[in-house]
Parts: sequence; C-alpha cells; structure tokens
Amino acid sequence: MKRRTFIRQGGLVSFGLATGLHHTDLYKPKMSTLTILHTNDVHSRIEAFPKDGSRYSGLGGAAKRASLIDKIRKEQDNVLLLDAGDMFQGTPYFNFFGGELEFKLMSQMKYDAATIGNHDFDAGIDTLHKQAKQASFELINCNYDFSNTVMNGQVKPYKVYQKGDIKVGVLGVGIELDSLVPQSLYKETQYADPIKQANKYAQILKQDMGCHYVICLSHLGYKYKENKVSDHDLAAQTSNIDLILGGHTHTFLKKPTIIGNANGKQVHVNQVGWAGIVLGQMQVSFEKNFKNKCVSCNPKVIK
Amino acid sequence: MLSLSFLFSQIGRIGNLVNLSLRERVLKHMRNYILLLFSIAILHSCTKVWHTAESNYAAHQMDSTAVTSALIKDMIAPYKEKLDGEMNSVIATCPEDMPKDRPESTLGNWMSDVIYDKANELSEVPIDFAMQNSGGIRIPLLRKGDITKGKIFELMPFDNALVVVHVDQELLLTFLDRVARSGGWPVSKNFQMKIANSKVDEVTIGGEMLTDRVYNIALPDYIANGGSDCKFFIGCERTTYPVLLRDMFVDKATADKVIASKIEGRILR
Repeated sequence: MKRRTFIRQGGLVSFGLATGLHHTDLYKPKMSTLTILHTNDVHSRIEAFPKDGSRYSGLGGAAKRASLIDKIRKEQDNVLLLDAGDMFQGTPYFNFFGGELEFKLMSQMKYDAATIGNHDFDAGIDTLHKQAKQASFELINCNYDFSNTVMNGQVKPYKVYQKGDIKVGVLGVGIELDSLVPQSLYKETQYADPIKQANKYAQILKQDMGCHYVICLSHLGYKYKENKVSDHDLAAQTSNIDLILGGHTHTFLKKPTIIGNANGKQVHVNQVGWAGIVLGQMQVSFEKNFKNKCVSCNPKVIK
Repeated sequence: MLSLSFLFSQIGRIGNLVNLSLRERVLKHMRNYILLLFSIAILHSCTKVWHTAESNYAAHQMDSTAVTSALIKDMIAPYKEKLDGEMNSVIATCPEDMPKDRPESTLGNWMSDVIYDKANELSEVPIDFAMQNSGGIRIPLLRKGDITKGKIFELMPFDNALVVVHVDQELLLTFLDRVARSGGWPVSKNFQMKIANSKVDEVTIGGEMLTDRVYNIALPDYIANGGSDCKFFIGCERTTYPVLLRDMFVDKATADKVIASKIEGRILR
C-alpha cells in the first residue's frame, strides 16, 4: 500500500516535472529593483540658472538635485548615482576654484561613479588629478590610457556594485581628445577605440564576473550626422551592455532610446541634456526565475 | 523521471522474491536514493537566474518647485561669497538682444571686433581679420539689459589666449573652406565672404581681393593649435600673446559701458 502510494506520487511528480508544471506557477517569483539616477554635462552649474527670463531661467542647481536624491534614497533601497562626464567648465566656479566645489558636492550627494568628459581636462590633467584625489566617487574609463600621466592608477576601467540581490557592472568610455582638447592639458593620455574597449570590459563584467546588469557611462555623444563614433554605434556594435548613459551632445531625451545590440538584444540609451536641468531615474526590476522563463519581462521602456 | 519510477517498481518486485523485511529495507534505501536523484535533477535543470524584467523611466526637471538642500547651500556659500562680489558687478549694458547665430550674428561680430582691435594694438604687423570658432561662444544669447562680469565668463568660460598666425593665401583658403563647411564663424569687420555649396566663394579683406601674400589672422590659441578640425594650422608661423580673450571682452565692455554691434553681411550664404 505504502509502496503503491509512493509510486503514484513519484509518478505524479515526474509527470509534473516533465510537463513543465513548476511550483513557481503557484507562487510569485522573487523580484528585486535597482534605481539608477544620472546626470551628464553639468558643466559647473552649481547654482540654478539665474531667473532672468532666459531659456533655462531658474532651472538646475546642486541644492535642488541633492534634496531630490535624498528623497529617492529614502524611498528606494538600491540606488546608484552616476554621471557621464563634463562635470567641469561653464561657470566662474570652475574658473576660480578649478573644480574643487563640483567634486565636493558630488561627494556629498554620494555619487557612486562618473566618467571623464573632454572638458574635465580644461584646467589641465594635474588639476583633475588633484580634485579626483579628494572625491569619494570613482572615475571610470576604459579607453584612455593614463599610464604616462599623473592620473595613472586614479581611474578604473570598471567597477562592480552589489545592490541588494543584483550585481551591477559599470564601465566608462570617453571621446577622442585630439583636436578637441589642447594636448598641453591632457598631456600623455592615450585614446583607444571605445567600442573595442567597451566590448572587452562588458564581456568581463557580464560573462566572467557574473554581473546581472551592465551600465556603460559614455562621453561619446548621442548620434552624429558625420562619421564619428556615438552612443548609437556603441549600442549596436557591442554585446553585454544593458544601459548606456551618455553625454557630450547635450541631448534632452524624453525617454531612453532602444537599440538592438550585436546579438539582437535590446540596449537602452539615455542622456539628460546638460547643466543639471534634469535628473534621470531609471527604475529597473529584476525577476529570479528559470533560465527560459520570466513572468514580468517587458523589455520596452515605460514612461 | 518516469524511467526512475519504473526502475523503482522493478526493484520493488525483486524485493518481493526475497522476504518482507529485506524488501522493506531495500525499499527504504531506494527511496532515499531516488529522492536524492530527484533533488539533483531539479537543481540541475531548474537553476534560477536574474532576468532584467522591466525598466521605467522618469526625467525629473529641477525647477522652482524642487526643495532646496540647506546642507548643500551651506557648502556653496563660502565659494559663492568670494565669487559674487566680483561676478555680480555690472560692467556694461546691452541695448538689444544679441544672439549667437550663423553665418553672422551681432554677438559674434562684437566679440570678433574686440579680438581684432586688441590684436592690432599688440601686433607689430597689421591684422587682416580676427576669427573664432562658433562653438567657443558658450551662450546662445546675450540678453539686453545689465551685463555682469559673470555673464562674460559664461559667454567665454575657456582660458583661450590670443595667437596671430602668419599664413599664405593657400592656407588661408583651406581655413576659410573649413569655416564655410560649418556655415560661417564669427569674424571681424573689413572681412567679407560668400559661401556657396558649403565652400568659400568670394572673399574680400578690406575691400580687396586675395593676392599672393602673407595674411595675419588673429585666432584663439585653441584654433591655432589645431582644435575644431583646424589641424592645418599646426606648425605654421605664429606670434602668441599671453592675454586671455575673456579678459579682452571684460576690459572692452567695462571701458565702453555698452555692448552693441550690427549685422553687416560679413558672411553671406
């Protein structure tokens, strides 16, 4: 009797497994959320634009951004705060204090990482180095070789952040400096192909280090008419990147652009204009489930 | 899985042939063994992974409704105090809105004329014209009204110094073609150029057609050093002056008390 019962039960379990009737159909899968806050091309806009009736009158300002970031941090557990470069240049704060206050405020707001824009060299690489030493956030770039400069060892190609259950890899790429920045400012910084480098490090992060989500901070620019490498090219010609947070072209996007990568997988590309007028918030949810099963997966960005 | 159940029942039958207690012992062992096999099978075929499920996006505009962080304001305060004294001082007035535009604009004309005049004052040879890259003007519009020193810093935040390049007619035309390709750059008085099909067409300097001689052009060092696709200037004969363009604008505005200019057809397309 016992034996028969067991056989019957075993048979039922086997049948269930064979037909794919998993217990997860009865219970909700485990979920996790990642909040990505981002800025780009803040250009030393420490204070809001003056209220003089001009185009961006009254917009922006670090004090407003900081309080919004605080509010979001209180509501969300897993927050990453990132910047896509050109933190420097554009107001007298930079001319007079060489980026000191910009980095101080970003450290206070607990930025996790930033990539380096062309204007971040404007006070010279020595000044950038001096400010970077004071900063509590990482400078991330994988296509500038700083070996023969003071910045050697100061910039990481990527960094991994454990945010709750989710392992997030962040890498960074920068624009070609030749003819954009006087060489006397960037000195012996060597530029390498950003697509090749991003692909290499994104693979390390996703395949070797087991990151669930890979973000590329880019100061290449959103898109160009001329033949110049952009975030669109970066997205289309690489694998293993989930999100590109861009800069340089000061592009205001209503929502992230979706581009198919080298493997046909979707990459989200975003940029939030400039001057800290907008703080971007990407809210990414993750579902723990069997390899070929995901109940809530919906790759389209929802506004 | 079905084959495992089958195997179990077969072993059960073998147990029947021996005696009851042995059969039960075998059964117990087999049960444990099979449960273990099941567990391994489940773990192996059904390992769970984290899927990126859904992305939602919000763009938060930092407008006047946003709350201000007192802590950040306090951090800015000592820096602001140092700056404000100097930057908020009104140095001139601007009677009309002066936009930045192509192929020619009042703002670009004023700036280029300031560079031209200062370069002529400093240079031993007469300057033919002054030009600067459009991208070097960092505000879209100088609004009419009071102009503070800080506004000039916004207009020209870069620490660009003055360079006079001494070039032949051929290099001059290479440069003007590059300018034409961009649809025109800010240029000083006495210069006229027509752009046709994104190329330089007719050029006159001081009313005269180009000839085979040396031209002296006042430029930001950024351009003279090859910036903004002007690599053809690298290595050309030059005189450098350790004076910042921004300081020229501040000094001129402070002295004149007025910032104004006219559209004169310096560049046409």
